[in-house]
Amino acid sequence: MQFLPRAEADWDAVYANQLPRIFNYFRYRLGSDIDVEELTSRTFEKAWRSRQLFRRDLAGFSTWLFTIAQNVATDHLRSRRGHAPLDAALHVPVDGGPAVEAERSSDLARLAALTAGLPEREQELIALKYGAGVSNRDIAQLTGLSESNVGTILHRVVQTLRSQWEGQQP
Amino acid sequence: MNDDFLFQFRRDPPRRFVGYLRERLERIALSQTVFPRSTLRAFVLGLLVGGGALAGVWLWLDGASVDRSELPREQVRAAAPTSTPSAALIEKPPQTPVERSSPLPVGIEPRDPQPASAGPSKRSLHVIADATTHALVASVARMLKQYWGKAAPQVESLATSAAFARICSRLEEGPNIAITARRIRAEELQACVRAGRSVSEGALGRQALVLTAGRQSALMKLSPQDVYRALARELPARGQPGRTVSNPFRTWNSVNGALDFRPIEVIGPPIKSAQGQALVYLLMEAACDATPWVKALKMTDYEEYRRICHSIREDGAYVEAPQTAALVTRLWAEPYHVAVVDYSFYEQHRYELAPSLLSGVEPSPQTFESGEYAAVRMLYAYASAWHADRTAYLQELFGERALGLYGYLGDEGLMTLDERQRRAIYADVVMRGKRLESLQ
Repeated sequence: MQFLPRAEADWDAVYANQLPRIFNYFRYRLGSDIDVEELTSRTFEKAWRSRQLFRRDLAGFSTWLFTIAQNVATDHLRSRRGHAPLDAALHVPVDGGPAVEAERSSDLARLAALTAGLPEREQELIALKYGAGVSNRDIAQLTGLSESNVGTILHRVVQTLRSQWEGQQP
Repeated sequence: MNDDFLFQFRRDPPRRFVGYLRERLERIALSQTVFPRSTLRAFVLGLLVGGGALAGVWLWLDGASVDRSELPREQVRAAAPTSTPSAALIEKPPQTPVERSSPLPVGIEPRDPQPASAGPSKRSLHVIADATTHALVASVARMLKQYWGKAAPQVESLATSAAFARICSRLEEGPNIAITARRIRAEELQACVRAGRSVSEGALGRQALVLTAGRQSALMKLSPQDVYRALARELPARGQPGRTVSNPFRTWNSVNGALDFRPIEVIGPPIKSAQGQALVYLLMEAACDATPWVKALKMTDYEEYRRICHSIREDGAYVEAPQTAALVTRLWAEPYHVAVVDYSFYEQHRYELAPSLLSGVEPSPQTFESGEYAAVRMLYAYASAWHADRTAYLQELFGERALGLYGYLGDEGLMTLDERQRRAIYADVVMRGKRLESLQ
């Protein structure tokens, strides 16, 4: 793909590296595959159209891209609020495919049902950390929390999820 | 359950989607690419020469039969029997004879008189805009020249009421398009009908302003009145109608006792920009009108009214700065500063800025729609008298490049409508020339 040569960022590399991360951020944030492609497209298009606003000195490119993704997710969740209960995530139909993929999606839906009970901030941290694979330092920059605070919250949340998950095992 | 377990739900995006998105981004890049001027010129020249030659051959072969296909498409539609509604709604261009510069070949009869504007127009497209929409009009005019090869339109600044009066006047050579900051009123539309003018209307999008600060800053609950009292160069003297005093306020709590003790330090758009003019009209003017004798000046002495209500102080309390990412870093470093930005910018950097309230209302598409939020308004375009370049201008104005999801008018602070609405308006105004019959 021939992105603008004068752009500061290497857009080919950005696309290859960041697309899976943004894609998985939305999967974890929404707890399903529905709307994920649409929101990922929206994020990349916004970034691409407003690439002139990006300044290397302000923040890393990844941070900038995730800020856009966070805004897109917030808007989407806000518009969705009140339409469907989050518990419905457990019953989200999964497209046919390999059995492993189905099981993984089913596990994701289970995880989503558990994280739905967490505060928004904790849900966001889970999506950034485990969906997108963002480092604690970058999460701190994205959320305004301190790095140590991010680590502490994530540790506590993982403990909670673990006990709930094991409690639900058949 | 540990970290590894949580990571294992990840999966790669489907290949189909990766390819689709890549293609989509490439299309966006192409739509933003500007053709080299020389290539465009050669293409247009080739088209003209080729078209001219073809037309000459056609004339010789076709003899004296009168053929409407040589008329501009809009004129053909206007001249056709009005069996379809769309044909009836498009205004017929003025019909004036055109002098022929060379003798006709033998056997060819004189043709139907052509409209003066069908040939090279002496008068350029005439667009009216008020001060707040002037920057938007200028952007479209630039694109009209760049992408359509049309002459730059003549842009005239007029107050909105005057703009409606002009496009609805009986003058033959009236303005062709008006971009306004409010919708036409019933009596103004009636004036159009009485003058025999058909007008098409299309909404462009909303202008909305947001007051914010750096993420660590304490939230201030400001109202338009607070903003006016903090930023106006002069304020009406208390109890002395007709007199003004230089703005004495230095801190927010002196403006309004309920506000924090903080120096008045506001960063905002350049006053002559679209956003700057929106600040003046949406926040300053609304508050200024609360003083009856000042409001009365609107009708009696508009220059004086502008001096009082539109002048921003120049003692350093208001600093002009463009809306770039550098503004966000500046706000991080200066927690006492309040920034005036447009909603699109605020939305894009929401996580890096303090939440914003104006008169206790949060800016959001919902509060804009409901009318609860004070600093927002809808912009409209009105097409009136026919001109050869009018269709091109409207196509550009309502097209995806200007008003699409990432259209360039968004960079001017305009919150564009959703794509379905835009397409519907495009079809009504550009394709069908739908006449505005009444206000619903």
